[in-house]
Amino acid sequence: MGVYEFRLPELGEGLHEGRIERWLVKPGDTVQEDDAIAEVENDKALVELPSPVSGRVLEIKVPAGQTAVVGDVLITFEVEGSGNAAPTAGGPAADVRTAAVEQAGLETVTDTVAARHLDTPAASTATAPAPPDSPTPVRQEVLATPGVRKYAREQGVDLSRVTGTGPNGKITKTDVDNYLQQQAPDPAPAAADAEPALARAANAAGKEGAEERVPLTAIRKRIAEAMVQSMYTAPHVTLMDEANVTELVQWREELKPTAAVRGVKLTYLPFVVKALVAALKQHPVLNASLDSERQELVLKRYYHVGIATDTERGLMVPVVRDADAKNMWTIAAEIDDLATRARAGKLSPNELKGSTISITNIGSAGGLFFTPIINYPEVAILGVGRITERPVIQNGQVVGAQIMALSLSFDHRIIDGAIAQRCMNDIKRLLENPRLLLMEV
Amino acid sequence: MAEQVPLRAGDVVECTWLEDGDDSQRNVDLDVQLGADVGAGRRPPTVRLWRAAPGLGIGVSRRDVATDAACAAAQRLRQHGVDVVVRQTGGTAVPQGEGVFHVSWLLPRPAGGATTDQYYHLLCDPLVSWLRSFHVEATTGPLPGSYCDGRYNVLAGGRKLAGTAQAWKGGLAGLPSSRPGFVLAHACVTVMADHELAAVWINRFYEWAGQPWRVTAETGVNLADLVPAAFAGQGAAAATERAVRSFAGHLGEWLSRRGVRWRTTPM
Repeated sequence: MGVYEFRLPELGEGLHEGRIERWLVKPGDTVQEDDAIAEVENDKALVELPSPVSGRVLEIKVPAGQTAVVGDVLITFEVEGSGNAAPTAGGPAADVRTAAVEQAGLETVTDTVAARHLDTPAASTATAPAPPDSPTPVRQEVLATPGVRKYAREQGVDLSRVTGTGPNGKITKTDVDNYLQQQAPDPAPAAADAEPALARAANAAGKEGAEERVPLTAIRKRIAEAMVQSMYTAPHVTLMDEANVTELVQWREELKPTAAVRGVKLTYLPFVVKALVAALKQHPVLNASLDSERQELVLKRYYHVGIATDTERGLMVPVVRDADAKNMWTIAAEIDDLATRARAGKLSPNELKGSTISITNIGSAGGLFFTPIINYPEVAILGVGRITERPVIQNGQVVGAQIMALSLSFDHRIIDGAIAQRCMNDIKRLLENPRLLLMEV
Repeated sequence: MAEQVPLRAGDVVECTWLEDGDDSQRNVDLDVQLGADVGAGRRPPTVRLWRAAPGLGIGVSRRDVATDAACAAAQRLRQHGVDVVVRQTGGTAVPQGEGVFHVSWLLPRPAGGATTDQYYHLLCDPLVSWLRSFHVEATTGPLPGSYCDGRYNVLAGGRKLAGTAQAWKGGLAGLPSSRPGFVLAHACVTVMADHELAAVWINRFYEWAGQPWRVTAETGVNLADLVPAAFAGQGAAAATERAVRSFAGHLGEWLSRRGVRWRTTPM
């Protein structure tokens, strides 16, 4: 019986290392030639290594998660015959590259790897030491991603001089930056004047890095632009009022079991949508837009209600279309679906366009009154605050009541305060008397 | 046929459109099923052109989900409505969704004379020449900060249009093996993807998994952004389908010019 050493083959041009992702065998296992014994990742190729021999696994030399260099002995087998192990224990084969290639049935395409690996002592002195629990000293050269290597080249940095702080001593871009910083000469006094304001402020406060600059995402930029356009185009006025929604709260509680059977999440928003649409029919000027070029008011005879939704990316306003033609269940299901998909980023652009008026709900975050910004070019937006239980006087008696906070912002170019308040009154009336909403379904 | 390409004049390559739009994981796993058939000689070398299942998602490698924390991170993403599929190739997370199309080369695993570079060339060269037909100058190279970064990103204008990776499965061809092997060389091409959202979820995944990878959305680019006229007025699904058909036509010509016989099943 002999010992067969299996070495890491070269898998890609100029790539002389690979990470052992997983061993598929363990010491004592019997393997047949061509059985997969390990998975190695190299250059984003996850490669199953087939066994070049039939035999019994003696020892795994490089544990999973470890990076090995082409030619490193990965595993040894007990095999029939004399095997291939070098006569001097632990010594590399005369030509590790050739050995690795022959064993794996793979062909190398560069000569540089073996040459550098075997003939350049300086290379090995620059490597990080193997972990103390490593079964054998794994020879490592520079570990770095292709991107970091390119970056280092561009910066004129010799990676062998950089200490890696990543896994297994892998060199990161930050390591390269730190190395450059260490190598940089002390800044001239004049350079201090050119120091960015940010750094100056941080230093003045004695807190290096106390501030961070985060580039705006594209969607944040769009939100910012839309808000500025609305705020500086349409003179906003906001009315704030309260609705006694005690009956609505009770009605919703009664409807919850039915909603559960229908698989619908019943929030207060569908009721607000229905009340708003009913009020808009009485006050169509709020369901409109201003064509400033032609100086015309465009009254919309359809009711597409935008629902401002908080998502990971920022504020999005999916649209419930033709809300006047849908019953409460349908609106509830649609709002739930739109909000879920908005948060998952699954909405199509068309589902975010075309609203004629919008609702924004700060109550879900705990807020009461606020001054919503109109979803321009619409002319009004209804803000819904949280419902609070408060004492009210009713028929001379102090009783508990559920009070909903409402904020209605409108474009004062188009809508006068009295009209807006009348619209608000209608919304309140419907929310306070939910049976009236039935007439709107 | 260029010497470095692992196909020879006279070889037959079959193009398939097989995809599963309902089961996103099965959609990914079809590569392995077809690859096993290729390795066993039950079907010729194959190119699978396919679209990801609808809906936002990310595709991660097996290494990405090798820890409990990573599995939990994937589950959290799913609870947020983000689909997470696990692929067989190496590398890190990539965007999924109806604005992305995939090219999967499935070839018998060679017994010798093979490097990953040869398969990357086979994967990337026709993509680069296809882009040229749109007057888009593309190249391959690394791009730090991009998703699933590597040496063979397909870049246009310095931004990433396609990510690539490979899996070499099973034993070597020509040897007795219970699992005849195959090479999967895979590219995902962003036609009309939401890079911003994908970056959010990819970064969130790695953050939750306790892993260091991070990407920036600005490194990605869509084909529809590069050639808006070709995809004007189209949604992501329609644009992607158009891109797939266009690439299929180009690939057939590209292989034919190299003497490779090309046969395709109806889409």
